Amino acid sequence: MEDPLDVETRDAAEELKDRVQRLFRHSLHIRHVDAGSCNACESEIKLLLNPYYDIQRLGIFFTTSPRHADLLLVTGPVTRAMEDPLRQTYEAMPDPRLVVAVGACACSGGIFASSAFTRGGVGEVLPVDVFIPGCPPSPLTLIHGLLLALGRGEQRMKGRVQRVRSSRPLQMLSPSGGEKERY
Amino acid sequence: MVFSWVHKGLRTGVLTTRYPAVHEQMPEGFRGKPVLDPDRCLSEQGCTACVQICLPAALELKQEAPYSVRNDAAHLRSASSDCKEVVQSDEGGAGAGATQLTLDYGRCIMCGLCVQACPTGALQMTADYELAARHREDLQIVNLLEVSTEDGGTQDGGARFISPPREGEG
Repeated sequence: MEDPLDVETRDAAEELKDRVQRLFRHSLHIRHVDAGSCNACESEIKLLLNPYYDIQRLGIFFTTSPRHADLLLVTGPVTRAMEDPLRQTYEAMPDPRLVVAVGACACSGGIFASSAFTRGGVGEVLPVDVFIPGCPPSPLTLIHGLLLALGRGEQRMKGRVQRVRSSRPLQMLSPSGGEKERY
Repeated sequence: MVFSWVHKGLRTGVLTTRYPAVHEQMPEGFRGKPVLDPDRCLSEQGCTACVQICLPAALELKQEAPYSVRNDAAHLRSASSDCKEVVQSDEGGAGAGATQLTLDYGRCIMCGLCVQACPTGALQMTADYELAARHREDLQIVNLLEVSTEDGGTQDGGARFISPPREGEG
């Protein structure tokens, strides 16, 4: 038997999460932190801003200050030296905030997981909302991950069950929620 | 000169991808998510080619009870009397000693070495790039051999197998 207070808290949390995602659908600002990355992920993140991928058309922007950011984009396996700066960046961000781990290193530590000088992934340091695997992930994977974090995308990875993507396009939600919208 | 730029711009049109609305075709040779065809996999016959070559140890092979221990005490006694049978008892115990191939997409660097190493072509790289997941567990496939590639449909053309080419596919 679950405590009714717990159920109430959980329901409230779900409602709040929905509201936050609705707000972020309009516009989102990203602060990127390199926590020991090899710069391959940065190279792909940089491509998001070029005229071909152009994530500004989706209402996603990069910002230089964590105080203006809604989403923390972390690359690298979180080295010992970058652990404190990463925490400070996270603490400097206003609530509500999202954390996205980019690349195999940030997801699991990757090939540096066994090293004594890394923490073996962002998940060990911060609560991660979305994991984007790949070494480096392609810009389209990054767009998919960012839209997933905003509740505008659909998750295709299903854990135990391996699925190959269908030809159905990604379902898009308009900022007001509900119906599909063409971008 | 300015006119030639304007002319070029008008002739080229919009190049920006329409990705979330329209699925993007990946270029030839793009290495996305690797998938395994369990029917062709020889890991139950002792093949560990992909596991050995995997650089970030994303592919792992686990063997449950390698010597196929039976609860039957009489079997154990007879087995211990004959050394040969203990070593080769895999064929005796069905289910016990099952191989478990796990793949962690969170560790995979999509290098494609496992595909090259696979002797039967059971492992293949797909052009699937929508790999983001909300939970770490969603990226881990515990028993790859139990998962069917038919699940989700590979025939719709959404996933393009790159290497090696499959029979009957253009």
